Amino acid sequence: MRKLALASIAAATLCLRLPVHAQDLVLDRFGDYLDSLRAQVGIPGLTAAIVGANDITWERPFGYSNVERLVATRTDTLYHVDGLTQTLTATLVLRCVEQGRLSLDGRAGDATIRQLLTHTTGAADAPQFLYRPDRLAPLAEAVSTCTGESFRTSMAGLLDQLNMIDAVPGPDASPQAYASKLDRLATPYAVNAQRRPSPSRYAATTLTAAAGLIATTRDLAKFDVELKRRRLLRPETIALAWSNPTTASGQLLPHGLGWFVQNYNGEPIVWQFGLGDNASSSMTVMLPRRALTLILLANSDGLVNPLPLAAGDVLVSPFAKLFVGLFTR
Amino acid sequence: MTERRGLRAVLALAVLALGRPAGAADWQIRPFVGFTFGGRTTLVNLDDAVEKHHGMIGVTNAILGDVVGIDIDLARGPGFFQSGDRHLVLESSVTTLMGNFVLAVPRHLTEYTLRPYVVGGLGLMRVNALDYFGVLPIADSFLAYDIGGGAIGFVTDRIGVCWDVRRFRNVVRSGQTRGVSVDTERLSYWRATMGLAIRY
Repeated sequence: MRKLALASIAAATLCLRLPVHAQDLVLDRFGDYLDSLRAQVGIPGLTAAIVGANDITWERPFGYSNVERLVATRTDTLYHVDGLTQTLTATLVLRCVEQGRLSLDGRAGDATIRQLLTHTTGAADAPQFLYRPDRLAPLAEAVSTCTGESFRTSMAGLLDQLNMIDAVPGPDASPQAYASKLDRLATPYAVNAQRRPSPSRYAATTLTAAAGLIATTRDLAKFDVELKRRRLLRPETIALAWSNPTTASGQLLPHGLGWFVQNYNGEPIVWQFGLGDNASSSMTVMLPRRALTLILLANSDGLVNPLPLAAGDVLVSPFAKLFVGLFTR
Repeated sequence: MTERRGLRAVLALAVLALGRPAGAADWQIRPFVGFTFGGRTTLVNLDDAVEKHHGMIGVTNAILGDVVGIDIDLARGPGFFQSGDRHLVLESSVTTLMGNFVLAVPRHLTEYTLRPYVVGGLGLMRVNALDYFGVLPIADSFLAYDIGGGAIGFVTDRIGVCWDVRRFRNVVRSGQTRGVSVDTERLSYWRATMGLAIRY
């Protein structure tokens, strides 16, 4: 009974804007959970945000963006978002598809665009799921062909359009243009079994279709809101992107066009993760029916490693299970 | 082949030791209290409590021959996942039921002194933890093993004291993650106890 009451408060807090006290009670506790999980997996610095239909509903930084200099993380700390980059790439590609400049069944490299975005291989009527972000490389060229600009310029244009003011299109983007922002870039850490962090290097060295974007949770929140408002992509495109491909035998595959898609007790979940080994990890978990999204960015790989997220079930992550469990009851 | 022979020898020894007339075997019941230490887990540990000390109570029922014996050990540690001031875990416990082989120093050599022994076996580890929101509940039974040792000293024919230290660990099933752990599900800890030893 108590659980039901708490869950009701949690859901109503974010959806109906209950009085501040109830909101604080649930979200403070939610923050305590995140901080505790962060400590257990050995993430030095983490920034979290919950995004509603129109804006950030809650955000909180945890730990340190630089442990040695005791620099606390902030809500505008920049992180490498690694695999989350592919959600913006998918948006660029799907816009080209909407404009008729690309076809999902057109080829990009040795696969179709649909196969690349859904991480599938094999015949069209018998696709097989194989999560390998490095396969997405030809999508950069496809975007470039569509827009007539380089992939980085196309990505930068999307970031500008979304007013993602802190985002940087790749670690090797123009140093003059982005130097002041990169002061806020979290230091990456490798964390040993005793949870001791030591400075490391980010895995991504340039912008690709699958990695390399640098952003804050606030930047990603803007992208999330625009997706929810259906301003970036048409509703039918989003419906297609956020649905599971099926095999000939009717089996659902876990990855839609740019996002993982799954169900939890009838509740759709749209999610994606990023991983830079020994350096960074990230995760977005969206509940489209409730217009709620959790965004987590971290400066070690503890948010994702060693969990088997690439198999397609986000609920193996206690971070995701906490969010989904709390806000779907 | 050598391993099989060794196993047969141990089993034969156990049968011989335990198969002797009832009067020759030492039947003991040992209620105990103790604490845990050195805990490690990948299960969600919201209060950062597993590594800290927690009280344990339990009882061991042992049948000791001259050298070899068996025991059944039941123990419970309430509040195993609770600690500190966060109070993210509302209720928790760890309960173990283990069946063990015991190897002790021969009885005739320790008639008037402490009788040391080593012990090891398999059993079940039941873990419960209910968190504040009830979204990361743990209620699982794991196959587990324990290994350790101790010493028993009798002050009368029937009553004695027993000290015991054992390490408990679940048998890891590779890749088992169900959203309530940060890696393959693991739990291990040491348990130190002191108890009465009662012959019956």
